[in-house]
Amino acid sequence: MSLSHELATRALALDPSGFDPSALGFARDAIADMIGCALLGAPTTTTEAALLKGIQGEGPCHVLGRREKLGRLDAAFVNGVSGHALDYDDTSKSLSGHPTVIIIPAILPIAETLQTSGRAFLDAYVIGVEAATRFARGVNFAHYEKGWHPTATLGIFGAVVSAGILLKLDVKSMANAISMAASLASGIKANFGTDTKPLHAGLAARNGLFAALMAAEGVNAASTALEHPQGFLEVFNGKGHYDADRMLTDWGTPLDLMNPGISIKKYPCVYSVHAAIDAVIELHDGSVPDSTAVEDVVVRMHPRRLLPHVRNPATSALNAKFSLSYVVARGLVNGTVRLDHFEDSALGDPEVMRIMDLIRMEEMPDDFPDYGAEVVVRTKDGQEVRNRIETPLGRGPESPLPTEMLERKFLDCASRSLTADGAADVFGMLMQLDRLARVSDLVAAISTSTRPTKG
Amino acid sequence: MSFARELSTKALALSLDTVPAEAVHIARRAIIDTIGVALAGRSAPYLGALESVLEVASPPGAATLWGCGGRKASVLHAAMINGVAAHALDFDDCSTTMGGHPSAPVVPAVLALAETQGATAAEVFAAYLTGVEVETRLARGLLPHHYEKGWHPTATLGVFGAAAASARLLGFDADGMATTLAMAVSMASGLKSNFGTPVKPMHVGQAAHNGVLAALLTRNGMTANAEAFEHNYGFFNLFNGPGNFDADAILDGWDGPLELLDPGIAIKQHPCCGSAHSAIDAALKLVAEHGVFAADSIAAINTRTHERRLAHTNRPEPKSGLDAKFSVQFLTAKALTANRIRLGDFADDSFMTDDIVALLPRITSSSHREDDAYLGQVVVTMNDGTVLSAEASTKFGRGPTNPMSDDELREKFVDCAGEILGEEDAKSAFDACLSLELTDRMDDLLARVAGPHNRMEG
Repeated sequence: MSLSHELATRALALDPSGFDPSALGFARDAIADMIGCALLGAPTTTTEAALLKGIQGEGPCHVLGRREKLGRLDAAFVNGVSGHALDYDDTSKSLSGHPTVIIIPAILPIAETLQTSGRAFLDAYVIGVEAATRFARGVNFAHYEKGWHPTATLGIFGAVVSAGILLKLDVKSMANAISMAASLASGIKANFGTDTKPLHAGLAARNGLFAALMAAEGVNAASTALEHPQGFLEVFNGKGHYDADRMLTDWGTPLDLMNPGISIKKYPCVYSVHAAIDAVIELHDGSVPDSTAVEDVVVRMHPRRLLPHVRNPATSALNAKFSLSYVVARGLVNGTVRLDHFEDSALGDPEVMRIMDLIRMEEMPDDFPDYGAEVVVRTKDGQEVRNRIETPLGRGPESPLPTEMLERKFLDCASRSLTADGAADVFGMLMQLDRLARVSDLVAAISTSTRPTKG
Repeated sequence: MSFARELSTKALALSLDTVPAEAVHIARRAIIDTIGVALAGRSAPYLGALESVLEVASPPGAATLWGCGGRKASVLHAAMINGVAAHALDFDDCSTTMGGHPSAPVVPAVLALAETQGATAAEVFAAYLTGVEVETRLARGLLPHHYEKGWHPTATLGVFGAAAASARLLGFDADGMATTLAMAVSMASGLKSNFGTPVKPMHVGQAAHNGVLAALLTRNGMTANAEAFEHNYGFFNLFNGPGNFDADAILDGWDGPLELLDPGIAIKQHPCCGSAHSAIDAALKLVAEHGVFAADSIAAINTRTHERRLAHTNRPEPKSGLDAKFSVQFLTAKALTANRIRLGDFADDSFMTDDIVALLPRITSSSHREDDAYLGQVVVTMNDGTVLSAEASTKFGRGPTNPMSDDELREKFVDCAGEILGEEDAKSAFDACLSLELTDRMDDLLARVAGPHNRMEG
């Protein structure tokens, strides 16, 4: 049996009735988060460019956070671009990339037009994540290290399988779809730092959906497109740098969503400082509610995380996103770290600057948790409090993200394109996704709440 | 200066004012030949699937779908659909430098954009030359490794041809073209493992589509890394690998002859396997000298082709039309008795004519190992004992050293396009393309190749 066929068989053998309810919960959160990110990206110039106004015709599918409606493929493309425009979307360790921003844009247009239920949508997403991450286990981390952008080059396999599930492809057609996706995979890291990075996400979503739709029309691809001497594995990874057997084992036992799972970014800044922010927000919400009482701060992290760019003093909106002292000060002063804290006008806040000057950064021993942080705060009354975070909140099943934090981030993101009431309603619907009769109702609610874009 | 910008600067320096007039004539011929093979390819069953997936029917577009009775699609969809059709039969032109097909990814992109921009023929020719030079010169520094590794150069290099041509047509400067090419780096795809399936022509349509897309997104202000080729995580290292490319070979020699002229591109004359073309051409030489042969005047025929060519064309008793396309025996007999090979010769229910049935048992085929792997020889022994022989060397098609005349190309076009356009309209469409004035717009030609309105339903 060919590799595409083996993968298709495993994807179709996953039985949603047996999915762990907590896996469905993680899936629901990831989807809500991705949609929030798209609502954040919707009004950016990147999304504006991707809309190709006057070129793409209208269609039945919504663009998240926009008034335009497009055909299925074009909607998948634009939603993928906007979802990744700010790089604030979730990540998967197995994938070495962003899984949800490829899969959800690919299946939303189908769900919208086929009147798919919330639960079926959720199930298709879970299967897509499983497919992409099992596939990734066979080619990573060589694939990532070589220079491919796995969000795109591996994410496409999640998109195609997920779309194939909603289109109810049989094994043969699903195998064709996977093989076809192999010929559409593209995206390299040389284009990081430009608009072409989010473009990768849009292209992978579009191309994954394209391959599934073509296969649904009965179009064939080569059954051995992956393992052929001139196939995906040899051409993208090269001999000795992949293990096809690893792609085929342990599907659903447990689901990748349960181990290692998907990590949600709660703060719009570099991930290595997130544990330190968690630590100070807990202090702010507990024994140190008023930052003006603070007279000394020590932040300790793993040496690997205390790199020069993290030690920078936040002189611009861009480097503030990497500045440990800035984000820790923000957390202590505001009890939250939001998007608007990274606008130029926010950088000069006097109390934040006062705290930044107090902060000392120290390296922990090498056996300290990789992404952990310890914060010690002394107040003017001489009290000293210490808080240690081993794993940032939202880092998969080991430290689930409290719903309030997910909601806070969602509303922060959605405020860029939805009305405040609308954003709250949409979040409520997303938290009930498994009980939603039709995904089109969700999309309609987003559309109704979308504020007109400026200009 | 980044590689992409340097390449763009050289490509933009190409000008119709300074290229030999012959180059423009070759562009006219390549454009009409690409349209012709696409019209012949319209019968491919997966084109309907493609149009329904792209939802071409819903909004009226701005760019002509060739052979669809005036139906139009968006510029991106037209580039894709026409691109798939152009490669559906593998009957489109070839470049040995590129290890692939230079015009199929470029012409659909150029004509779709030209229609929406109202471009002149001069702009179309300049864009075409730019696209072909860029993709084939990239190949100079990347092949044969790129091809042998498993990439499909018509797609993975064709996307840069389409991108450069689109950038040129949209009037970009060197920075704009560099951004377009760098963005196209992130869109290059297509694996040889999918050969033999509809995915192969789909690669070509996707390349045309992506080239246009990169240019349109660049026009809209999207950015890409101009160093995307030479970057550690860039095109050269990822697609070829360290030590397996030569960037200088791509950038050198732009002051020399155009790749389009030397070694040039080759047009496939016969709608069948390229490995049998030298035997067919040898047979046609005999016909030119002695007239069409009557099957019952021939006692024996022997063909001699290179062993690598004969390996897959030694089919003395073809069982189907497709089988006949790969049968050196069938094809040689057809050439001797009909003086040409037509698309219509391969219908499953009629390919086995009386002449062919009579001749096949009298044909023997042998192989050689000459240095010229494209050498073919045909020896005909007549009933009266006369022995006639001829030989030909045909490399993938007929290029500058062995060119097809305009009349021969017109015959190919009429064979390809006749069914959709009708023979007379096909002839006049061909003549219209070959006589395009530099100041003409493309509307008249595109209307001619759209075909009659009763084909609207597609």
